[in-house]
Amino acid sequence: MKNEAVDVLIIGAGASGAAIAWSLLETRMRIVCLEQGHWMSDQDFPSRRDDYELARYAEFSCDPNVRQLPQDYPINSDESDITPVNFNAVGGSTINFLAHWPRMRPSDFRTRTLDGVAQDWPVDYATLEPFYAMNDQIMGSSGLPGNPAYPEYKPALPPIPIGKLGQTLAKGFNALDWHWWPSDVAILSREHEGRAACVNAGTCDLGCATGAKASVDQTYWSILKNAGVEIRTGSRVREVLVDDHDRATGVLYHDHSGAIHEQSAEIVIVACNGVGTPRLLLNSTSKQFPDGLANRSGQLGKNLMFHPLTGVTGVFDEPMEGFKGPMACSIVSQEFYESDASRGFVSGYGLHSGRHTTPMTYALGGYGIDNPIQWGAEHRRLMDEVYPYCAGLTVVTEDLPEESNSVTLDPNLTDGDGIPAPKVQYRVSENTTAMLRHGEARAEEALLAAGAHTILPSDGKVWWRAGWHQMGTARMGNDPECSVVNGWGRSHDVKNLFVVDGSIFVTSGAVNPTSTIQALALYIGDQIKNNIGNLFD
Amino acid sequence: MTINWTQSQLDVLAELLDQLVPANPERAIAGAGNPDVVQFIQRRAAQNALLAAGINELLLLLENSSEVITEALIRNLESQVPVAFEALLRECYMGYYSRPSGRVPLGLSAAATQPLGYAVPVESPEFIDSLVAPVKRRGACYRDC
Repeated sequence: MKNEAVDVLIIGAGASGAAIAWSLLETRMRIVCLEQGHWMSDQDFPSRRDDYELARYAEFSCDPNVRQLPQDYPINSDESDITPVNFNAVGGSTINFLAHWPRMRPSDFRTRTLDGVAQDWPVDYATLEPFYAMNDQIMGSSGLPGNPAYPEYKPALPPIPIGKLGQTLAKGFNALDWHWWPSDVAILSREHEGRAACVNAGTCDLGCATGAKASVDQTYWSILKNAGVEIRTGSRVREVLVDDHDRATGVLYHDHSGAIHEQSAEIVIVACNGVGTPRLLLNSTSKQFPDGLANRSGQLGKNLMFHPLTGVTGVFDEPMEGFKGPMACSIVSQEFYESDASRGFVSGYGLHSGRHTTPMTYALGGYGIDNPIQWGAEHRRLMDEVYPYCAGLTVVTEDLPEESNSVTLDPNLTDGDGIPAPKVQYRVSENTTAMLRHGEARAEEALLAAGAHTILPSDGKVWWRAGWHQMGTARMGNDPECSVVNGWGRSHDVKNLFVVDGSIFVTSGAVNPTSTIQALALYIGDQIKNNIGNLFD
Repeated sequence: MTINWTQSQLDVLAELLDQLVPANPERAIAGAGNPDVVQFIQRRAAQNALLAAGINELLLLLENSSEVITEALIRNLESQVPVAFEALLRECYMGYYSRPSGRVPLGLSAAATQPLGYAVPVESPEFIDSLVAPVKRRGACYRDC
C-alpha cells in the first residue's frame, strides 16, 4: 500500500528521532515517525511487580537476543567481545537506559589534533553547548554546577542524593586528591514539567513507573503528540528507496501484520542507532548503491565503537545501601580521562560509581554478566556478609575507532519480517585493554582509600551484555572519502538523507553518549532549518 | 507442557536446592528448598523443555545414587552435567530472590520498588559543597580546545 507523501520521515522514535522531530516542529512540515516497537504503559513496567527482577532476564532484558519480542531483531554477536543491547519501543533504549548524563568534553572532539589518533569531529564542544543546554531542559537533567572537568554549565535541576555509597567513595577520592563529582543524570531530583521526582527505586532498567527518568516517551513525545507529529508503531522499515538522481524517495516498511507499505517523503532521517542504522542502510541496495545506501565511502558499518567496561568491588564495614537510588548514577571520577603518555595508552577513562544491584542480579553475576556466584555455604556467606556491604566502581573506557570493528549483514539470520539481521564483529583493542587494567588498579586504590577492607576478586573480563553505546558506524566528516555524513548529519551521497544517532560519532569519548546524541540531533535540526532554502544543493 | 515429578523427586529437588542456597538458622533465613522455590522451578520447567530435560537428568542421577546429597556429590554433578547444573542453579537463584522474603533479610523492601521506592535523605548544599571543595580547589582539569 502506498501512503500519502510527507515532508519529513523519521525512522526510529528513540532519543535522537524524538529530538530532531521536536527541532523541526517549528517548520510546520508534516512529520511522520515509523517505530518498530510500541507505546509502553507505565502500568506494565516490571518495577511495579513483586518479582520485578525476573523481567531483567526475560521480556525486559536489555539484550534483544534474550527478549526475542516480535518488535526485536536478532543480532549475531558470535564474533564480538561485547554484545549490543537496546530496546525497541516509543522511547527506544531510553525506556531501559540508566540515564547517566555526562557530556563529552572539549578534547573528545579533537583527538587527532591533541593526541594524534582517530579523526577530529567536524563540530566542536562550543558549537554543541547550546544544544546540550536546550536538551537538558527538555529531558530534565539533575546535577551540581561547577564541575572543574568541564567548561561552566548548569544542569536544569539540583543533584539527586549521592547517598551513603556516594559519600563514602567521595571521601576516598578526596583522600587521594583525585577528581570526582556528583553524576549528572537525566532523572528528576524534583518535580519538573508535570513529571514526579525520583523515588530511588533502583530499577531504572525496568521502566521508570513514576516518570522521573527521562525516557523520551515521557519528555519529547508528550510534546510531539500534542503538536500533531504522527507516529506509526509496529512499523519496521525494510529499506530506504532512492531514485536515479541519488535522492531518497521514501521507504518500504512492514506493519505489525507483516504487510508492506510504501511511504514517500521529501526528507528521510535515520535514527536507529549504531547497529540499526548501518543495518538498514546496508539493506537498502540499488544499482547506484550496490554496497548499501550512502556507502560510496565504504565506511558504512565500520569503526564500531562501544565503551568496554569492567568493574571493581570493595567490601566495607557498614551496609552501603547501594540498592537505594538510581541504578547507575551516584558519583564519577574523571581523574584519568585525558590522555597522558606516561600511562602507556592513548585516551582515558572514567571511574563511575554505580549504586549496587539487586540480590538476584548479584547472585547471577552482576548487571551485564552471566556468571552466577558460588553455591552452597559460600553463597550464603556472600549474600549475608558481603552483598549488603559492597560498593563498586565501573571503569568506562574510551574506545578508538578501528575499521575491523564492524556491523555487516548476517547471511543467514533474519528478523520476523525476513529482513537480514546485523552481524557484529568486535574485538577489544590492546590500547583499551591497557586502559582497563590501569583503571582496575586505580579503582582498587580508590575503594581502599574509601575504607574498603576487601577487594573482591575479578576475572578482569569486559562485561559481555554491555553494548549500550553503539557509535561510529556512519561517521561524520568533511571528507566524503572517509565519512558517511557531513558535519551536520547529511549523507555525502544522498542529499536528502540524514543520520542523527550514535552512528555518526567520530570518536566515542569515555562517557555515556545519549546527551551528546540528542544535542547533535538538535544541532542537525537547526542546520536543516538554517539551510532549508538550499538543503539539497 | 506438564511436569509430573513424583513427590520423591520433589523431595530430592528440594534437598538439592537447600544445598545450593542453604538456610541461615542464626537469622531465621530459609534455604532455597522451600515450596515457593520448588513450585517456581516446576512452573519454569513446564515452559522450557530444555530446562525440564536437564533437571530430569539431574534428578535421575541423584535418585540412582545411594548417597545422601552432600556438597561432594553436588560438585560431582556439576562436573558431570555442567550445562544442566548451571541452568538449575540460575533458576534456583531466580526463584529464591524473586520472592519478597528472599530480599528482606538483605535489607531491601518486600514490596515492588515502584512507585514507593526508598527514602534517601537529600544532602544539604552546604554538605555537598564541603565534600567537593578539595576538587574545586585543584581548578579546571580539562583541555580547552
